[in-house]
Amino acid sequence: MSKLYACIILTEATKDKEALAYVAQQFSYRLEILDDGVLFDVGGLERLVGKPDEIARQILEQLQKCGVSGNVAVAENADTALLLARQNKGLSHTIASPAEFDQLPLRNLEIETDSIRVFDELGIKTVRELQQIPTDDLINRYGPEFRKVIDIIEQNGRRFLTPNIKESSIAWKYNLDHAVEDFEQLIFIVNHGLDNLFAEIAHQALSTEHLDISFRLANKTRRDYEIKTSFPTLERSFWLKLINLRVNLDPPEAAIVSVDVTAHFTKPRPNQRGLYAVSRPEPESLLLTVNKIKKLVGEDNIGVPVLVNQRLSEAFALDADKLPVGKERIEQKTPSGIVAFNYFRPALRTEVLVRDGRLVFIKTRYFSGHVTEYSGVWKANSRWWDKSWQAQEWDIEVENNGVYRLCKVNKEWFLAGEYD
Amino acid sequence: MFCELHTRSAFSFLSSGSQPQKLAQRAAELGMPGAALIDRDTVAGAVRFHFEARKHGIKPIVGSEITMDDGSLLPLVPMNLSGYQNLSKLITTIKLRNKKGEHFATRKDIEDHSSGLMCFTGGADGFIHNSIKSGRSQVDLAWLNYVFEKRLYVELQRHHLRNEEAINQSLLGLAHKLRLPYFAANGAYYADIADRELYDVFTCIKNHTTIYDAGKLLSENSERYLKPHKQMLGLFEDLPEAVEITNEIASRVTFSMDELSYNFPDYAVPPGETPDSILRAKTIERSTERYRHESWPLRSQVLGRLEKEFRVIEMKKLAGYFLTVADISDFCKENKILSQGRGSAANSVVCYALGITAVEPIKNKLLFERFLSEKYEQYPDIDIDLPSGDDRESVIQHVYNKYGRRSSGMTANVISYRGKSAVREVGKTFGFDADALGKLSRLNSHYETFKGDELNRRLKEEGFDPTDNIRLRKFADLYQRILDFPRHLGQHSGGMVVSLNRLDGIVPLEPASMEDRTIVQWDKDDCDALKIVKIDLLGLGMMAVLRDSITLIKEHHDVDLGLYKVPHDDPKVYEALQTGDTVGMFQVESRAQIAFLPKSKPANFYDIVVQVAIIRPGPIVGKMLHSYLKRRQGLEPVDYIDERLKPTLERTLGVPLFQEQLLKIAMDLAGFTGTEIEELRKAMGFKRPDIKLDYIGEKLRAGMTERNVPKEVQENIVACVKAFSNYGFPESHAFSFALLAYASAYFMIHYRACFMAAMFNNYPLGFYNAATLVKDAQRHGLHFIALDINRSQYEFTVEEVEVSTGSGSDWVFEKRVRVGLNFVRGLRKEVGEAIVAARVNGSYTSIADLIDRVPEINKREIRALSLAGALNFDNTLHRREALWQSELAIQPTGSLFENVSSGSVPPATAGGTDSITPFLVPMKGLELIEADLRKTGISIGKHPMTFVREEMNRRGILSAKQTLDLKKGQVVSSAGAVIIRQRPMTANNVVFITLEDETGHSNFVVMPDVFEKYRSVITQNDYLIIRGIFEERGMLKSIHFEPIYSFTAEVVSHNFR
Repeated sequence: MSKLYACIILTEATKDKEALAYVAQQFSYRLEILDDGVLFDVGGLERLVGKPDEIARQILEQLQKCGVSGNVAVAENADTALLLARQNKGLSHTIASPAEFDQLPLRNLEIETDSIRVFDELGIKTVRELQQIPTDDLINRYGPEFRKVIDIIEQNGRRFLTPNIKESSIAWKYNLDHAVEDFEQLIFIVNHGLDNLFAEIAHQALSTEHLDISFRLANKTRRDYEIKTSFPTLERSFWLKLINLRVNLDPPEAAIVSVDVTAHFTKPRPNQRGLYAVSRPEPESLLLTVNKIKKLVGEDNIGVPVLVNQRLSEAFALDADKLPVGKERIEQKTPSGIVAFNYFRPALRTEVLVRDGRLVFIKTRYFSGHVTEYSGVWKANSRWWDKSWQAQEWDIEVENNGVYRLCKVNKEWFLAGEYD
Repeated sequence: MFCELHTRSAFSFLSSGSQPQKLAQRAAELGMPGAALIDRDTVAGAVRFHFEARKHGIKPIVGSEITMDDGSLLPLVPMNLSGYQNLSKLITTIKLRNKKGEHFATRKDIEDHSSGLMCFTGGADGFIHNSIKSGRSQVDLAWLNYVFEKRLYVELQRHHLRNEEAINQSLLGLAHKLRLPYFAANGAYYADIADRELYDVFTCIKNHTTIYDAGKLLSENSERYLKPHKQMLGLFEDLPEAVEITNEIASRVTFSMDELSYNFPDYAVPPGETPDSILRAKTIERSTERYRHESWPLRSQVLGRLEKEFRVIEMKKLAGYFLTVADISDFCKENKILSQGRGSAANSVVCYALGITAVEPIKNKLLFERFLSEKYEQYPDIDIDLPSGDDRESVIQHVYNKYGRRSSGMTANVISYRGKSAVREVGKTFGFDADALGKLSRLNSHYETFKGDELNRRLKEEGFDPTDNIRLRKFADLYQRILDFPRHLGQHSGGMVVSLNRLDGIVPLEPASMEDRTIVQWDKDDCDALKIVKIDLLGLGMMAVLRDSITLIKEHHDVDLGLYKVPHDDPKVYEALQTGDTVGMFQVESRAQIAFLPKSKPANFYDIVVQVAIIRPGPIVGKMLHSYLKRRQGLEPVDYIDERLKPTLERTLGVPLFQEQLLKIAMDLAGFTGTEIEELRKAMGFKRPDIKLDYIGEKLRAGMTERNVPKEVQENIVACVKAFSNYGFPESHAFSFALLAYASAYFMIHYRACFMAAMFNNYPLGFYNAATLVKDAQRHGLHFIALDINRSQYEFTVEEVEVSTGSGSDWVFEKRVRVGLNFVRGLRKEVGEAIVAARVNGSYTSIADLIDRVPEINKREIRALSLAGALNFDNTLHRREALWQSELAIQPTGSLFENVSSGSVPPATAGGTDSITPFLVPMKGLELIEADLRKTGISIGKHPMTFVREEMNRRGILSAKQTLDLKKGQVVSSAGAVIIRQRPMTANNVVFITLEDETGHSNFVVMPDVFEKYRSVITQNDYLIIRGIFEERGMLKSIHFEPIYSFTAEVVSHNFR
């Protein structure tokens, strides 16, 4: 069987990659995905399709059918096919003929830029002109590595195809006979789906930390859920509970007609622990607990407090995507004289009596009292470049009560919290 | 009353949002009796602060925050002159001891320089704050108390920040414990609350981040502005005494910058002599030689004039200065360094007699009063032009060595945020990506300052909409505000200050980025304001050319020429000038000069002086150019604005062209006093925005009204003064430049080979690229000889070649220029020189021989030499063959074949220029020219346009020569290499283009609408066909542009500079 290779080079390297593999797979299963196209073995197709130019024409036809813009070349050598296809890079829908090989510019070959410049100065600009130079002369000057280039220009390139298609996800789909109102009723089916998916993932020695659930609804809309964990796991019951909690938190607005589950691959979690490692709660149970709390208090009100590196009125924010994994408890040298502060959420509206520019008395829903001592006003402002803000605060001691942080926002007074 | 004793200005680079002048101004507005500027490790802003504060009637206090070895800052304020000197010496010591930007003071440094200084504990970044944090505050404060006994103050700052109070309480506790006085300060980083934004932008620039990512690097609030007494009392209501004491502390400072008595170094004189007597003796002695060849009527005036000058010099105690400058001038002569005094010194016979200047003042009617006058306070200005490069450096080092490293320094140049740098830095702060930054930078491609709504309009043109976008609005606002803020201290082009005593007792010195150089922390205007006399040692490329020309002329023509020995009445020089044939001549070679020369037709030396001064933005904007031209051509009657001005304006046909003339007009018509004249001079020469020309304009009008000068004359004069601001050219400068212009013309016309060789050896300089200079020289009959590894020196040389005269057997010697190895791109100087040095053992026989004898040569250099045609070994190797052989010869041999001769490399003996390697085709025609231009930047072969001349002729496209004489209104096309694209700031966006072909230059004017239409064709192509309407000799108004694609030859164009 004669050797024959085809190459498709995309007009725009970043686009149409998936369609490209699809087109190539129609002709061959021996293919290698390139940065800017695909190279595949079409040896033996002469009997089925015809001469190489006919094969190239058919590939181009398929390419056009898929709406992909690229250039095709078929040659007896993989390198030759690749170079021929690349020569028309930037143009769309062309077929390069092997007869054009001699006229290919040297810059298409993998020659050092420095050497290319020298060849250019020598007036040697095409493959044909390079072919004129005795091999020994070239090897003497550019070293034995140049042999590869010589092989290519003599169309004796020894490029092997490297299968390199990599899936990044796997999907499972189920169409229901009847629309189902309550997701609980679907748990058995989703469980089955996850079972299949996870078996496949485990077979590839991989794991997942990201599932996409998509419901087609009776009102002809779709509802999508993206569920991520901070660790990879194939624990089916855990995922099922997580999906259930997530869907219950924000249920679909119509009955479900079909279910799609896509699992994204990731490397499995290393599970080995030291003999003396302190046993901690399993992350699965922690995540479930967090999700249960989310269901109770709302999604925006749970997360890990993180310090904000911005001049803002709030010193910290909640990071809902971050889970406490225990690493926060790094031993820190506690600075002396540290004072704990409890934020009131929401801040407590207050009436304040000011006499001669001094804070005298405050009254809240819960307590009232004379201000015995106070310090401030503490001022802060920033973000003048977009949403500017400013704050005025006082630290006050209320008679027979505690020490509070009082703030004034738009002429209204609030207690922001209490010093412990 | 409260005095702010701790402010920081923009001279603490990137750590303040206000200029020192604004701080002083605001402090005065707030009614402060005084204020202190304490910049970080510098007093660079002190002079500006001092004079502004004085102007507003408040007491200026200057000090500096010294960086300690732990990174904290220790504010020190001089109480008296000795304290200031200590501070200045301390800054100098720490700055010179370490690398630029890595300085710090040790405790010993502080102890050694503490006398006369008071010390504050500083703000949040202060020395004691740091100590409090590390728990050693009491010990450190006790140390400071020991060093600054009764001169130490604890500084309390309140900015409405919660965390400040604990430190303040600690400081108070320490103050009570050690019985130290304390005071309130606001540690102001900016004058107004609004300047906080600029301060934040500077913080981002300093930390290389954006305003969005800077996070807590930015200020917590906007409280570091200057606050009035009442507000400070409110802040320190629990400690009112801390506010009240500030005035008392300020009153302890008796030092003022006015006290800095700068003395020019006295000249070492023998016992019984004085600098004045030495100056007198030396001048009179040298004047005999200088004037020996002059006519008796002139010689008879010399002594009288000298006596007059001696009187003024003695009165002003400037003999030391003159002797020092004369010493520099003598050093140059002894070391064969060509030098020429410039500036108002050209008006002095003393300077001429001492050999400092080359222009004779009596004959040229230059008045000494314009240099020095007993009537008003004025300081001499002597610039010395030197050949740029090593010669100039040796003179600078001579000054350092003679007067001492701590007694001399270069003046600083305050580099400010200007158009492009402001756009980029502010743009980066606002997070614009590279693409947007590129677009924003393009807004400012001509370094213009946007006025009014222009920036918004230009932003819209570039696809931004500032009205819709708060980020762009803020960017536009801050861009305007950052302009003129100091960015860093650079080095002035040549100003040197030397002092009798240690200079570092007057102004701190710091290392310059150049090795072995130090700079003072003040720029030339600051020095001027404090009456510090400087000497400008300026590098001029043309001086180097003239120096080398003189040597070559002596060597090849046996003619002893000098700047002073050139006859000023050579008809050939004036003929060349009158026809605008001036490519390569100093100051008269620009396109505008070439266009103007045939109209003005200079016929004597003073015409050249005018010529040098007139093609400047001042005279052009002030419409003096056209007026002068019409009068010169007899098309307009000569009048003198006012008859009183006739003596002043007679020489320039009633048109004020020189700065001195405007000063004289102000004296004669507006009755300006000496001080006012000085102010006007500064205003016309200053780039500083704080000198208000409007204010001076009003003064001029008032003075002229008093003297019954008609209104329209007044406006005319005020307009002239305004036009001259920044761009006015003094007559004395013009004289010195004219001398160089004349000398360059004379050398070029009579000794073209020597002059051109010198030009190329000092390239780059002047207006044109080297390729254009070669072509121009060739059109004038000069022949060049190609590069040759066995004949070329490292530099261009002159060779004598025997050539036939064409009439029978007559042969003559012709001087030709041999191209030097210095033009081979990528060839290192040391390798080039090694190639020449190794030739003493005989010529190179092959490439392998070259590599054997010059082992330091590298692959790229060998390739460059091959392609430049240097390796043709008497025509045995063509360039490609040489390159091919080089590729083999440069391969490492390996130890096995180390001692075997390079057998595989064919010897460069047989084969001629025919290819000995069959697959290599020798370069021919345009290919050769392109290789020359690519590898050397010049081509001594045909002009690339000759290769398409036939086609051009067929298409009816004219050569440059043919475009010179056409009928007005005739529409023609011409083609060539674009050697000039210019958009002068005085031409309302009109672009000028010059094309070059084998016959010369054709000139085109492009109106703004046509330029916009063909912008990409014009800016992206090196060769163009331009269709235009003939307007006048040598000028076509372009209407259509078309690229010539057939060339790849490179063109180095004078582009929009």
